[in-house]
Amino acid sequence: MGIQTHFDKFHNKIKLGREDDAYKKARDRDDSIKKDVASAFQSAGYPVVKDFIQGSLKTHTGIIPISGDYDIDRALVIEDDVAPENPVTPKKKTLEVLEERGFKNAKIKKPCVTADYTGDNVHIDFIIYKLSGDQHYLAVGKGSSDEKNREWAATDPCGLTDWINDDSLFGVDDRKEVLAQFRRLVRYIKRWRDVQFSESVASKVYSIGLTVLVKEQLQYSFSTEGARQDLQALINTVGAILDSNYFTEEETGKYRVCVDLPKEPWRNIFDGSSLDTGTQIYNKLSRLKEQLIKAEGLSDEREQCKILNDLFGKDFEIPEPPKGGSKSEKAKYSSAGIVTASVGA
Amino acid sequence: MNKELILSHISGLDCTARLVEAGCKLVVEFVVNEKNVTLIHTFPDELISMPKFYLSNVQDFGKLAHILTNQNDESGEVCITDALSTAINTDQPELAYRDTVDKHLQLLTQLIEDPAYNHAEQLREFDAHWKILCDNAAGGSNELFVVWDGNSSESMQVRPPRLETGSDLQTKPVALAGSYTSDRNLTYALAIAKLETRQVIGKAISIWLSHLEPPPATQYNLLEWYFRIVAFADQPSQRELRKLRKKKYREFWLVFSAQIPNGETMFALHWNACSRSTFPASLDGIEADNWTVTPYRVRSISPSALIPRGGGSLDLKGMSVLLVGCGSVGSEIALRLTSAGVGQLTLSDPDKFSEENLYRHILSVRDIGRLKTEALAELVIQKNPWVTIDAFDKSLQEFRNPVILNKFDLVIVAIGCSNVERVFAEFCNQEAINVPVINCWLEGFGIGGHAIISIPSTKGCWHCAYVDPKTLTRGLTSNLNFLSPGQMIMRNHRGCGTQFLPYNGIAAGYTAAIAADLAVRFLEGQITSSSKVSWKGVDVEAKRASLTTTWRYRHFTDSLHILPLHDNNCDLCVAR
Repeated sequence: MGIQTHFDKFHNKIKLGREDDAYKKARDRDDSIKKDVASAFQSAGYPVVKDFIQGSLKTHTGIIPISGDYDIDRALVIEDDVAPENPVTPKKKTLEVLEERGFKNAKIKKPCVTADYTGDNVHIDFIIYKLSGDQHYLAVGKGSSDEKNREWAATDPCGLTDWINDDSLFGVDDRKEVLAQFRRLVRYIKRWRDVQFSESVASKVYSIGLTVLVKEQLQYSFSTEGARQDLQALINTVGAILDSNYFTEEETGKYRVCVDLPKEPWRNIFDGSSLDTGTQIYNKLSRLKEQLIKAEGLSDEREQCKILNDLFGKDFEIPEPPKGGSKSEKAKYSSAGIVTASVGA
Repeated sequence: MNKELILSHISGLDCTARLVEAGCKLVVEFVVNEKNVTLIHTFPDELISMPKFYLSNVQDFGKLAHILTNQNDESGEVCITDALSTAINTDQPELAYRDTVDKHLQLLTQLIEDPAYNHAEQLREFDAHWKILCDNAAGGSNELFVVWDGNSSESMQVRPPRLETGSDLQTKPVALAGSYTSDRNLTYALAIAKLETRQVIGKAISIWLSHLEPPPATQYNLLEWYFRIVAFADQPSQRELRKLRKKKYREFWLVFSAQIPNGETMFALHWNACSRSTFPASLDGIEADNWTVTPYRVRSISPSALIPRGGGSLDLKGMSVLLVGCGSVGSEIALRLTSAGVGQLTLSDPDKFSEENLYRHILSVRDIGRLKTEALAELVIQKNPWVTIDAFDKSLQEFRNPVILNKFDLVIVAIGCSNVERVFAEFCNQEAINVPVINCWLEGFGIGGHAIISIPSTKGCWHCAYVDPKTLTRGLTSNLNFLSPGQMIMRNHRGCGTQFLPYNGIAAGYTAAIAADLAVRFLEGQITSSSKVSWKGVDVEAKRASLTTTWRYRHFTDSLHILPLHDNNCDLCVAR
C-alpha cells in the first residue's frame, strides 16, 4: 500500500456531495425554505425565474465541516424588469420569510441573507440576483444601508463556477483524472485550513480564495502509469502558490494576500483582510509545503501518515503498526474477473 | 576549385607549394632532417574526400609507416586517416587543403625524425602492409581461413579451395583445428564450405611470437624477415617447429599470432617444396630444397576473435539462459542473446512453425511444420556458432520446478500471455526461486512493447507491472500497456479459433531488442535491481481502429530508458 491509498481514504472521509446522506437534512431544509421564499417573491411581484446552488457543491469541492455545520449557498434570481430598484428590498422579504419560519438569528449581510438551523447544524445563505439579458447583478447591501452602500453589482456567478469546473486546458483524454485531482486538492487544503487556523481566522480564509489559488497554480501529478500522486501534486501546487505573486511583504515577515476573482467583478477575494490573516496564510502554507516534503522523503508509511495527520487532522488516519511475522492477506483483484487485454510475443 | 586560393592558404604553412602540369597537380615541398620531402597531389574533378598526396621520393627514407607502396613504386600514398572518419569542408576547399597539408607535414616530420615512433606505427598498421605484401605475391590476394579457438597451439589440417568463384569459404583454403572437426555446431555453421569433400593437403601449426617486426617491403626480403622473427617464437611453438623439422613435407602452413600496439594480429606463411623435404632451419635449407614461401592473410574464425569483433562479450560465454516462447519476439531474442555472446541457451516452445507466422518471424518457408525450437536452434547456430543450444517443446507451466529453474542464470518469458505468466510469477514467488525472470510482450497496431526484469531480493516484481493505476490494487492487465484494457484488439479472418494480434516484424524486433538488451545488461552486471523498459510507437493504426490509449501512452517520454520496476502500491513487495 502506498501513501496514495491513505490519501484516498482521507478523501473519502472528508468529501461532501449534494447527494451525500450527511447532507440530506440540509438539503431538505433548503428545498423547503426556497419554496417559501419563491412564493413570497411571487406575491411581491418579482417572481424567481431560476435558482441554483452556488459554491463548493456545484464545483465538487465540498468537505464535511469539522464543526458539523453544513453550509448551503442558494442563489435566487429575479428578472431585471420587475426587480425593485432597491436591492435590499428582496433581501428584507427573504428575512421576513425566515423569521416567519422561526429563525431567531436570521440576518441580512452585505452579499446575502443568512440563517442557521441550530438544531440541525444547517447554515443557509440566500444570495439574490437580478438578471438582465445574460448579466447577473448581485443584491449588495445590509438592512440599514443607505443609497451609497447598496447596489445591484454586476457579477458572474455561473461564469465563476464554470471557470472552476473548466477542464479544457487539460488533454482531452486526461481531463477527468486531472479535474478529479484538482477537486481532491481543494478539499485537502480546505480541511487543512479548518484544522490549522483558529475558527475566527479560518472564517476569513475563504474557500473560494483557496479554490482559485489551487486552480490557478495546479501542478497535477500522476505516475507514468497514470496512477494519481496527490502528495506530489499538493507539494508542487502549494510551492507554485508560494512562488507566485499572491503575497506581498508589506513589513518584514508580514504579508498582504491578494487573490483576484477570475470573473466579474474581478475584485480581490481577500479585499479588506488584515495583514495578520495574510501573514498566517503565508506562514502556514510554507509550513504545509515543508511538512509535505518531509513526509514525501520518508519510506515508512506510518511515519508519513503521522505528519499528514498533524497537517490534516484526525480524518487522515495513522495506520496500525504491522504485526510482526504476519503474512499479508491474499490480495484481491479489484477489477473484473475477465478483462480483454490483447498482447502477444 | 580556386587553385590559386588553395595555394595562398597553404603558403602560410612551413613548406613551399606550386602548381604544375597546367595547374592539374599540386607539389608541396619541405625539409626534414636535411632531406627534401616532396608531396604530389593530383586535383580531383570534385572534392568529396580528404585530398590524397603521394610521397615522390619514397626510397630516400627507408621504410616509413603510413606510406602505402606497390612493388617497384617510386612514390607511395600517404595515409593520414580513414576517409570515412573525416568530414570535409567541400564549400571551402582551400581550408580542406590547408588542413590536409598541415597534417601531412606533422606526420611525415614525426615519422622521419623519430625512428621509434615510425617503428611502432609500422607495427600498428601491420595488417595493412601484410595485405599489400600478399596482394603482390604470386597468385595475389592469398588468404587462409583458420578455424580454431584462438589460443591453442594444436596443429591444424588444411583443406584446399573447392571452387574458383562463390563463397570465400569455398574459394579459399581452410585450416581447421583438430578439436573443431568434431564440433557439431561449427560443422553445421560451416556446411557451406563442404569441408568433408575437400581432401587434406597439408598441416598448419600455430606459432606465438613474443616480438614482431614490421613486415618487409617486398617479398624478396620475406625469408630473411621470417628467420628474424621466428627466433621470438615462444617455447611451445619452438617445440612444434622442432617436431616439424623431423619429418619431410611437400607443403605446410605456419600461422603466426603476435601482439601489436592496437591488439593482436595473425598472418600465415605457406611453405611449398618441389618434393618432400625437411623443413629448413636456415636460409641455406631453402635453397637446397627449393622451398618457396608465400605470404597469406589470415581470416580467423574463432570465438575469441569474432565474438568481440561483432560486439559480443566473451564473459557471457559461460552464461546459461532459458528462453520460453519462440514466436516472433522470442526467436529474435535468441539471435540477439547469442550475438551478444551468451554461450548456453535453452529454448522451449510447444508450437510448430506455421505459414501464418512467416512474415513476422525469422524462420522461413522451409521450416513450416517443424517445431519452432528445433528450426530456431539451427538458425541461431548457423549465425552464431559458438553456442550450446538445448531445445524443448515444453510450456512455461512445465518449468515450475525449482531444481530446473535454479540451474539457469536467467529466465526469459516471451509468450505474450499474462495469465500463464501470472501463475508462473506466483510460483517463483512462493518457491523463492532465486533466478531473475524477464517477461516481455508487445501490443497490437505497432503501439509499443515492454520488457520487465524481476530480480529476486531486489525491490520490484512481476506484480508491480500489474498494479491497477485506478484502484491501486492488483489488476489483470499490465500498467505498462499503451492500449486501454477492455477493447477488442484481436482480429480474425476465418472465424473463431483464427484470432491473431495485428502487429508486424518491426514491432517484434523492437520488443525483442529491449528484452535482449535488458538480459545482456543484467548478465554483464549493469542492471542489479528489478527494472522495466518500453518502446513507444505511433498511434496512427490504433486510432484508425478506434482504439483508446492509456495515460501512460499519452505521457510516456522514456522510450528505451531502463526504469525501476517497483510500484509503491504492490502488495507483494510490501509483504516482503
